[in-house]
Amino acid sequence: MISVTVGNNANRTTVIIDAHTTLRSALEDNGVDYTRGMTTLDGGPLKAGDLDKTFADFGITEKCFLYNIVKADNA
Amino acid sequence: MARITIAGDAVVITSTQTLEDIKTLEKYRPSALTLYEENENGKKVAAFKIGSTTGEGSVSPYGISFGGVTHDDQRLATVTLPAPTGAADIKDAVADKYGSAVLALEKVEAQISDAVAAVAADREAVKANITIA
Repeated sequence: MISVTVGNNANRTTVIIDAHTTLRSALEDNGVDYTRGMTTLDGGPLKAGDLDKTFADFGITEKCFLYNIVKADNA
Repeated sequence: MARITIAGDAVVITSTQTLEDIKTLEKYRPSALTLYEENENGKKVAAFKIGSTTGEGSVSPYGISFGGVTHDDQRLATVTLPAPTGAADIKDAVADKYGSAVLALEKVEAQISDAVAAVAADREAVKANITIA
């Protein structure tokens, strides 16, 4: 089991899940909209196809941070 | 309490519960597989969790994922891990590395039997209301 802090600009929550869970499942199960903005895992940007990989595929064994960040437009 | 067996370079932790019961609770009552504690704000947060997984499983400070079963009729959940290397006393080294997880597992296992019985009763109640036309 791993501890994942998952969220977006406004909200984040820490959950304990199996390392063989996909990133997409973790985001969807915690109500994070990943269709806009940039999704990062431990600060590194994810690319197409990465969301269907598991945390174990990324070598996560204990804890990590999975965020979707939407950058606001400047005035 | 869960059994820890050291065989060669492998450590096997065997739960007192079956993998099937753990999978049932994952589906119907996942909170029964979780230990909660209060954080500094007085809010209940998950501190340790057990569950099932593909592969051999794993142990971390946050929980245990069981991937296997015993080969007898009991089919108890197991997780196979590498034994610590270079230890003068292997029992000490294993207790040091996996002991706190096993102690937390014991607390979770104390919640499982009642939850499994409750889920079984709920399912029977639902099935009693199913008719085949």
